[in-house]
Amino acid sequence: MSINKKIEALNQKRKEVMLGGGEKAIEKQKESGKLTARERIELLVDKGSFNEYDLFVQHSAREFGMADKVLNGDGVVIGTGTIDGRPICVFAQDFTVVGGSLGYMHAMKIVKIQDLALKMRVPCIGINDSGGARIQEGVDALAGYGEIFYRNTQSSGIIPQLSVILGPCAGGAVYSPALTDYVFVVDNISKMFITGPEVIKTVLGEEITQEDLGGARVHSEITGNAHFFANDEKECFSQIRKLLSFIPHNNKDKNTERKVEKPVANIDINNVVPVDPTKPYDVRNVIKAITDNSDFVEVMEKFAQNMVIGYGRIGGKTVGFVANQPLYLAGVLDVDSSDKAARFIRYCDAFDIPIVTLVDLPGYLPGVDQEHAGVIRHGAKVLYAYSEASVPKLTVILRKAYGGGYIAMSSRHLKADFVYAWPTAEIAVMGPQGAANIIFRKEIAEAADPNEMRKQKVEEYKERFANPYVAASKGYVDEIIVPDETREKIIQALKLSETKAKVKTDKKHGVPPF
Amino acid sequence: MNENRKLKMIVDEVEYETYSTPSFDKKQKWSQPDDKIILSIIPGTIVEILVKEGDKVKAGDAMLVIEAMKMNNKINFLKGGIIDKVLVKPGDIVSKNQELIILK
Repeated sequence: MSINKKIEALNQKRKEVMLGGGEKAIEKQKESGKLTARERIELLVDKGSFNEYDLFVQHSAREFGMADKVLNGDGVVIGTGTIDGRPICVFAQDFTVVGGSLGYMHAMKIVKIQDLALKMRVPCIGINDSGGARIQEGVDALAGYGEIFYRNTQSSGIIPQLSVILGPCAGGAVYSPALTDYVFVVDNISKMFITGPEVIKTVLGEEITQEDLGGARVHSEITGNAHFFANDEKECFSQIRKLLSFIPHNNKDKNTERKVEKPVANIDINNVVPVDPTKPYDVRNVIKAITDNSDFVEVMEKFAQNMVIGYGRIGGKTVGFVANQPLYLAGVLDVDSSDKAARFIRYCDAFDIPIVTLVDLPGYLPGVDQEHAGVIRHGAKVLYAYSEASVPKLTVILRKAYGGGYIAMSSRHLKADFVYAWPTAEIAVMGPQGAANIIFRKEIAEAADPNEMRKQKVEEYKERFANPYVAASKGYVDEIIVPDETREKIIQALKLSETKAKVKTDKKHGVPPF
Repeated sequence: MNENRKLKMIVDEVEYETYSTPSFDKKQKWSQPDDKIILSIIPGTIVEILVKEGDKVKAGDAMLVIEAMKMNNKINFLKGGIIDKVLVKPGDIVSKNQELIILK
């Protein structure tokens, strides 16, 4: 056979296999509003940069008449490409091939790309669209999942792992995304659950739709399993590209610095925060007033909205923001917001991203449901994560910082490197009303007019303690600054922190209150 | 901001003006459990009821059998008393915390 014939044969073979489950199945995929695996990869990576590996891999099942079946690519596409010129590894399950079901060789393809990503220290992006385990392959399918989970865990903290849920992701399959760093979901397309509506109906008699059980909104707002919500697949892939332009591509990557840009949002930072600590405002306006280009990539925007986390650049350098959000639930710490912040802090620490903490909270959320949901152990995660983090930690106390909340939010006592306070800061053991009622209980009770006396004592307490000066007099705050000085102060502190000493200990690892 | 989601939140006697979140909306008010009302501890299907109204029972006596996750679970009384009402029958599918039996 001549070389030309051989080339022709190769191209023919490629064409056949790339058809996945065939034209009919592709049509069905489109009808359900979804793109195909290869179209998705094209949207993700730079044009023409994709190299597909293991195109000709076949499944290894022999039971139940599987031996004669041909499954193109065994239902998954793997390979490498670039995003903004930087290499990444990717796999995309192909739902057109037996519902993207996971058999042993399918899993081994995923494992191959996971191993490559870890070895080459590049991000690994997994696009999930699968009906679950390929039952005909029995325990081999389970083995496949296990191998994937193991690599997710080994890669954690070394390379970013992103999961994109673009179809069903049910049963054991959900645990790979759950082990990864960022989960992306798309409205009406993503469905994630351990047991689906049919099982729930037969076993429990409860009727619920897939969407209400584990749709994109549920995971973005209620469960906290998803980190980014998009209205369509296109938006989802641009979110991924944007996130990867901010974060390091491995734990030693220093290539995140960009040209310094000034904030562009039309925000008067001196007037964002109302002086009255009981009034709400959007803390994201403070973030936008200090970041380059006023750009902020918010993570978990719709979950536990009383805490804001995400990435921005200040003076060209990427930082992770952790900020109480007085707009929701007065910015309190609760079970969900503690969990959200703690994991983000650990991520920043693992990838050497300096943490900027913006503080404005009245404390922990009171209530039976919070106590019974374990606010003690969840709240402890924040203390643990901040105490353990050795990256540069910069804290700006915007307004109220009361009680346990003050300690938890990257205080000097948890070894923040720089602590700034605005003139509106109130650093105190608790809110003035509560404190005055305890300290002056006797005077109030014995007064001719207890209400008048209470008011007077609250005012007295406010005057003396509801300010940043008491904490500053003890060195717990380094500088009291005008809000519009904040950006420049952070730029200076980040510069100084570049050479921050790394303290080595001989402990294997701590035991955080997971 | 949606004014319907406005919320007054009290922490340490200070009232804050703020807004609610979806999870906060879903939280349920706590109430003291009533030990005369026996709730299902698991969801499942009632297979057999081993007591009837008017029976005198003591702690440890078998109450009923619930099938859940392909297992027949015999449920016993934690506390004795006289059966006032039996609210379920064999074949019923019950959810977690559904009322099963009321004691006098």
